Amino acid sequence: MINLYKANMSRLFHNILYIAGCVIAIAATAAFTAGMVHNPYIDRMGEESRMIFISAAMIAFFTIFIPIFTNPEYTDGSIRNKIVSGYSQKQVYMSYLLCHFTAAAVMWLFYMIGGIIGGARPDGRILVTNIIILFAVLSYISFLMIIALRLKKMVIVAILSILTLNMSYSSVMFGNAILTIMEDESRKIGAVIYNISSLGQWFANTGFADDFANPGLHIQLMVSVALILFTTAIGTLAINKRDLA
Amino acid sequence: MIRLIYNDTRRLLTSRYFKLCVLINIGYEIFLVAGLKIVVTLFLHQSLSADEVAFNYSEFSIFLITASTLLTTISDFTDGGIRNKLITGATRPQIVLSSLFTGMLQGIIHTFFACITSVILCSVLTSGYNTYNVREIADYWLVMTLACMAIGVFSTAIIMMLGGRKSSYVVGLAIAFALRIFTAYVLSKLYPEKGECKLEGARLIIYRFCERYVPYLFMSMRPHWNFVSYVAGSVGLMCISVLLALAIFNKKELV
Repeated sequence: MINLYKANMSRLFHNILYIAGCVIAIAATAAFTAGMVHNPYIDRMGEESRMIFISAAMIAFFTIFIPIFTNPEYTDGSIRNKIVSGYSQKQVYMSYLLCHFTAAAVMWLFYMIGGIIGGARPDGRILVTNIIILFAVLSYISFLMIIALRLKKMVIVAILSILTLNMSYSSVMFGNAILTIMEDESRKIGAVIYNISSLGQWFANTGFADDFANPGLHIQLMVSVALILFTTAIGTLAINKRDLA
Repeated sequence: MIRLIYNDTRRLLTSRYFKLCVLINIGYEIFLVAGLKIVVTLFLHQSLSADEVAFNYSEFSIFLITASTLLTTISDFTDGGIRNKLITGATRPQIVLSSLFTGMLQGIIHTFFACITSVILCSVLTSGYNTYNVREIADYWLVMTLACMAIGVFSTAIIMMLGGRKSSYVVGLAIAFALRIFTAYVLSKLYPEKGECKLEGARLIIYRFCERYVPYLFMSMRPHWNFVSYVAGSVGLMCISVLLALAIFNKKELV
């Protein structure tokens, strides 16, 4: 499995789309955080909030990147070569999952560097909030991995990935409206459900959403970790027994 | 040319993906109206007015039509259909025009089914229209049909331009999503919930132009400009798509 992971990482760091994504991550984060992009909403935010605002671009990036990077496994037939070499389908799945997690972590590092260059104070609070954002992105990636490696047709994978992004966006907009009419206990439960979507966690941390949309950083972290474990369990469920024809 | 259009249309109408998209479209309309009916009747104890559900064929249709054109057109590249068409003597402009016609047809068919479903559900599950009349509802569906035709042509043009590359799978859908966010932003600026519109200068002109002439933005508002604007916007996008697709596909290397 380590070899599969290394092979994926080698492909990753030679992938022009990923390299471009990392360059944009550092440049766009620095530009947004420094306030070079003007907008009445963005101008009112502080440096840290502006930095978190642009972090949603990572979610959009991985929605496009994961199908393009992962599906050639089926279209080029390389998964069959890996199976012939003695690896199981579960190992292939896990190697891709870890590869995408590493990709997200590296891009997040570039994003952090961009934010600090742009003027965000590198203190504990901003670090913790951004770690929450990182875990939100990881949970989103682990969900997309089910689509990208359990389905073989590229066109279906692309449509479902972008449908996931659309649904996340819609759930945030819908959640914002519903949370305002909820009360007390039901609102607390609603806030946890709202934060299942990684865009929900992002929105709750940008400062756009009302305070009650954020159930607390520890709950957001727990939701993300639970989602990663759950989606990985679903993604690898009976994967070794499926037909690859 | 007629042979190509016949072939593409036949393939479209027999495609299981296209049929699935039509079913999803109808299912979505039923889900929205029936869902609202349940919420309004059971939880709010009010009667559901048709005004609240007659105009919900909105952002979802953009995604649906883009996905539908992607599912049906991309197979021409993956299965070698383009090569076969060229071998049978069809020219590249003919192939492009025939594909774009099929994309346009998809827009019309999806809107047709959504319209029929919406009208039937409104007459069965709601208490009727309070403020709108039949003419205004017909106007809305006419504008939706035009916009969906333009979106169908545009998304097919993107596939024809990028076909064969991995990016062709995601660019159309990504543009649809980006325009969805752009639409929400533009409309929140032009029609803010609180207070008056504070836009001025070039930004106001650009936003108003987008709202009036870009078909992707028609879907989120009930028609309020004159019909000529909507026709001009839709025909304009179709012309741009045709020209771009012709120019790029003619010089494209087909693998």
